Parts: sequence; C-alpha cells; structure tokens
Amino acid sequence: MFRPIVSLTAAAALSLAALGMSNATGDMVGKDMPDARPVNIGGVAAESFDDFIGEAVLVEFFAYW
Amino acid sequence: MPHLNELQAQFGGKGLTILGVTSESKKDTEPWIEEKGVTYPWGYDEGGEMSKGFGVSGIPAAFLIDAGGRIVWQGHPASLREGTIEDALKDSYKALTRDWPKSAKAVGKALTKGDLGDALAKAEALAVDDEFGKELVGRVKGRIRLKVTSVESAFAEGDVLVAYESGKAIQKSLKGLPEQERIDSIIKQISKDKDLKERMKQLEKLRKIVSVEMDKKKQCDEVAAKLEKFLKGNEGTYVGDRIEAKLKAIRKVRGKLSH
Repeated sequence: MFRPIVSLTAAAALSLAALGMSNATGDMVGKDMPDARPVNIGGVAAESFDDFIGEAVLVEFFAYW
Repeated sequence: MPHLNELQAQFGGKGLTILGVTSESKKDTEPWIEEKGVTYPWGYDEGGEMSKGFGVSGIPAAFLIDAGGRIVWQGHPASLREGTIEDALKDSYKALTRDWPKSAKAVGKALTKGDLGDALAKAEALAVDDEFGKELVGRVKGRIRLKVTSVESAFAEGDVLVAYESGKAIQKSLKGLPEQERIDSIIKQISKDKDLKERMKQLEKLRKIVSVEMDKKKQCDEVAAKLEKFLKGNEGTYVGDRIEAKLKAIRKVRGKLSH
C-alpha cells in the first residue's frame, strides 16, 4: 500500500506513486491520452468514449481474476 | 471494486466518469461485474491496444484524464486522493476548451456546468457557419442521449431504483430540452405507483446486501445465504430475477476463489 510521507513534496509523492505503484512502464502524466478507445461500453448507454465529453475520466485497467 | 463504487457515488454526478477497462472477454468479465455490483461504466480493450498505449504493465492501474484528454495523474487506484479528483474537476472548463477556438468556449462552459440544454443551443448557434460547431452539436447530442437513455433503459428493464436516482440527477441539466419531459414523466410514474415504490425499496435492500467485500468463499456464502432468504416470496418477480442473477454470479465467482 502506498503511504505518503509528510516530508515529501507533492511532486515527489506523485512520482513515487507513479513509479512505485502505478503498474505502468512510463510516466504518462502531462501527456494526451493515447488514441485507442474501449469498445462495447457497458453499465451506461454510451455508444462511444466520446459520449463522455465535458467530464474528467478515471480509467482503471482491471481484470476479473 | 468497492472503492470505485464509492468514488462513483461521490463524484459520478459531479463531472467525473469512472471507466473500468479490461482486456479480458465479455463472457468472463460480466459475471464478475454482476457479482461485484459495479455501479460505474466499463469497456473492453480489444487486442490490448489501449493498455499498450497507456504503458500498463500490471493491474490494477489507473489514470485520471482531464476533460481535455490530458493525463493528470497515474497510479494505483487505491492511492488516488479525493483532492486530486477535485483539482481536476475544478479545471474541467479550462481543460476541455484548451484547444478550442474562442467562439466555442461558451459551449464548453455550459457543458462543464452540466447545462446540456444551454450547451446544445449554443453549439447549434455556432454550427450555422462553423465546422467545429457542427462537430460539437453531435457530441453534445451524444452526451444528452447517453444521459437520457441510461434512465430510460433502466426504467424499461424494470430497474426503478437506478431510473429514479439517475433521473433525479440529470433532471436539471436537461432544462429546455424535449428530453426533460420524458425524464420527468418517468420520475413521476415511479413516485406515484405504490408497486414501483415498493420495488425500489426491495432493490435498495438488494444493493445493501451485496455491497460488501466478497474476496473469500466465506464472505460469498454469507451473502448467498442472505440472498436465498430474501428470494423467498420474491420468486418470479423482477426483484426475484435480480436476486437469482446475483446468486448465480456469486456462485460462479466463488468457484474461482482459492480460500
């Protein structure tokens, strides 16, 4: 579990979170999201990712197992 | 993902979309979704293109993307602070309109305020002689359709709880649009009908029973026992079918747990 240390600056804490716990190979913060989009969106009647226009999106990569 | 369900409840109506993305098949994923009682949308990353693009090396991995499509945070979903989300939402207007022409900014303002009727009117005015305006009309219409259809399909399916809750949440944003009447009428039908109100209570009870961790066989068994008890007397009804679907999903997931 990622535990913030008070003496760390916000930026250092963020990069710790990004590098130590993010399960991603690189730092994507500040970049535009890649072009690929999810298909067959469930849970809402969205026809495509574009329907979420105007909102911030928290994308979580998950698996059922 | 009880944590993301909580975020959905807290920020879902306030400008944040939570989207689960998986490279696994629909067949394997949907029972899991059902069993976990996921309340936020999910989608499929066919061929793993999306996860490759994000550089995902393991799961779970989360990315917060601002309204303008820029990644503002990445990390383990459990380490995401509410303050980070709040900061991203505060700047939604600026982010969304970052690369937009000045003439379109008023559409972005209305959109991020959640005023879809106003956003559409402004986009349509812009579309008269502007290509980007035309594109915006399409996108705002998509957003309206998404919101309205989510309520209508929940209602048509019989899920009066979701229909009522999400209907209430979007009522205001549809001001001035013909769709508003459709949503008003659904809310009115539910609140006037004794049977539908009773069903809403039952669905709330179902939601409460299943909104617990089910990572261990014992936890699954406890929930299943409660559901079986709840099912008695509800067989053959909409709520009964929902309970049975939930039971089936829990049994399937239980079979895959090691302890």
